[in-house]
Amino acid sequence: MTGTPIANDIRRLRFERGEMTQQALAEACRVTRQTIIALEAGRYAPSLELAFRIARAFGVGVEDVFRWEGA
Amino acid sequence: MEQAMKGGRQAWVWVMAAAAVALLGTAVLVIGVIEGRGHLLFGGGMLWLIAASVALQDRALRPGREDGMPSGSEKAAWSQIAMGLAAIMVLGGMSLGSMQGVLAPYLMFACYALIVACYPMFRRRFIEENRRYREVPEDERDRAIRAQGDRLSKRLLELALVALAIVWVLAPPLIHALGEPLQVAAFLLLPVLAANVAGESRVALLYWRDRQ
Repeated sequence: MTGTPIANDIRRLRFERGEMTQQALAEACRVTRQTIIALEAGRYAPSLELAFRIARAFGVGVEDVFRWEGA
Repeated sequence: MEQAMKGGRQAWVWVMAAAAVALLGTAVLVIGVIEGRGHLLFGGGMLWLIAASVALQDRALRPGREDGMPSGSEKAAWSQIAMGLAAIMVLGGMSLGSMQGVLAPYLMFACYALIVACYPMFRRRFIEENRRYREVPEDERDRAIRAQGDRLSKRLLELALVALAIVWVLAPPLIHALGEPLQVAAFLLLPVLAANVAGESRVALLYWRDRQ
């Protein structure tokens, strides 16, 4: 559960969506708030299914939320 | 402010509980040394381990970075550690001689089997309790962390089985010294609990590290 090469813009997207709370996003994606915190901190790489859920919650594509930053 | 005061009060309850268990453990250890009873020394040592786990639990379950409160699954791991240690203390004490009499082997086996069978149920019940207050009590990240704990449990159980096989071949009298076949069978269930506690400890550590 340490660093992951997958970066994300979840925090930015939350604030662009009217300061959506972590709890609201967690409920929309059916995960715990702790998972959203870990995702935002880059400590957890989501499954493909969760990545799609998060993108759907923001109404954007997966590539608009996640990007590869590893070597 | 009110929440901080409540948190402070809760912390004191945990500290007092840990201190009380440690005090009891010391008393049991002293009696064990005076009377030279193995099961009392074992029980005292286990009480100290339980006190340490209660004290660590209070420390580990405090909010981390970004108000990262512990998840239901993390709390369940800590409760499993304390319960597992308590079960090992009771069952190990029985095997080391605190239970005597004609019915002792049967009662001992029944206790072991019941506790080993019920142990995973405690966690499921804890998660179900949390479901009442949370929309999602456990998700894919919880399952990934739990899988790491399960892997450690599996490895330790494999090691225990290999060690047991070696002892059985090289020093059978050591096994027979544990008592009647039913008592030996009961004692052999102890590594199952110990491996579970080790796995839960790894889960709790991974959660704690993730929130720092």
